[in-house]
Amino acid sequence: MKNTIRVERAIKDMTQAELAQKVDVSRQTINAIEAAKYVPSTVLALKIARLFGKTVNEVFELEEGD
Amino acid sequence: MKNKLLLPRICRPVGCIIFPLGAAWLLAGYVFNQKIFPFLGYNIKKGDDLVNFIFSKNFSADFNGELSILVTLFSLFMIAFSREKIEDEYVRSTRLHALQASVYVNFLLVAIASILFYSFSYVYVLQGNMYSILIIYILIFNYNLHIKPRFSKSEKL
Repeated sequence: MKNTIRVERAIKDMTQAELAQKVDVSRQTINAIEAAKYVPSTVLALKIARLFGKTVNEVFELEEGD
Repeated sequence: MKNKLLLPRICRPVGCIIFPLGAAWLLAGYVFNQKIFPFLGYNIKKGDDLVNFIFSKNFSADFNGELSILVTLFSLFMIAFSREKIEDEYVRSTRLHALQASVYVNFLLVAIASILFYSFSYVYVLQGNMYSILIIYILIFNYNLHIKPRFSKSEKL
């Protein structure tokens, strides 16, 4: 699953650690999600999307094979 | 969802301190046949009525072995299953994958050891098996959670 977290962070000028703190997870979690190594739960995906003022579909996108 | 089946965070450094001591105590007993704490052993000589009743020979026992095994096992357990600073869903997922991988690797090691070791030496394989699954789990979990992300390209913006 692709995501635009890295881009959204850049727009908001936010570091991984800051984002992690705001959605109450570890920095490793954000790093793994950005690297597409980990697919977040629905709750975490909703929290991240809400923080950026977007819908989940705008931040996360299905890839071929998902 | 919180994972309540974990030890407090303080258990990890405590386990890290105790493990080398326990492992040294264990190795001293098994490999070098040294009883580190002589007061943990005792002898009961034949002649005592109770001993004659229960045992036919002089009876001796030593708890160095048992206690060193327990100390080593508990210290490994403390390192393996203590809480991370932030215990979130990714950590839980990593924990689960590491546990699965450690069972697979351990199974492979035991399978290889079953071919290579025979008779009494196989007992040592089984004894090592008690610790190996926890040690492999600790190595895989910490590598995946703390070391691997350092080499990731998306570490920082």
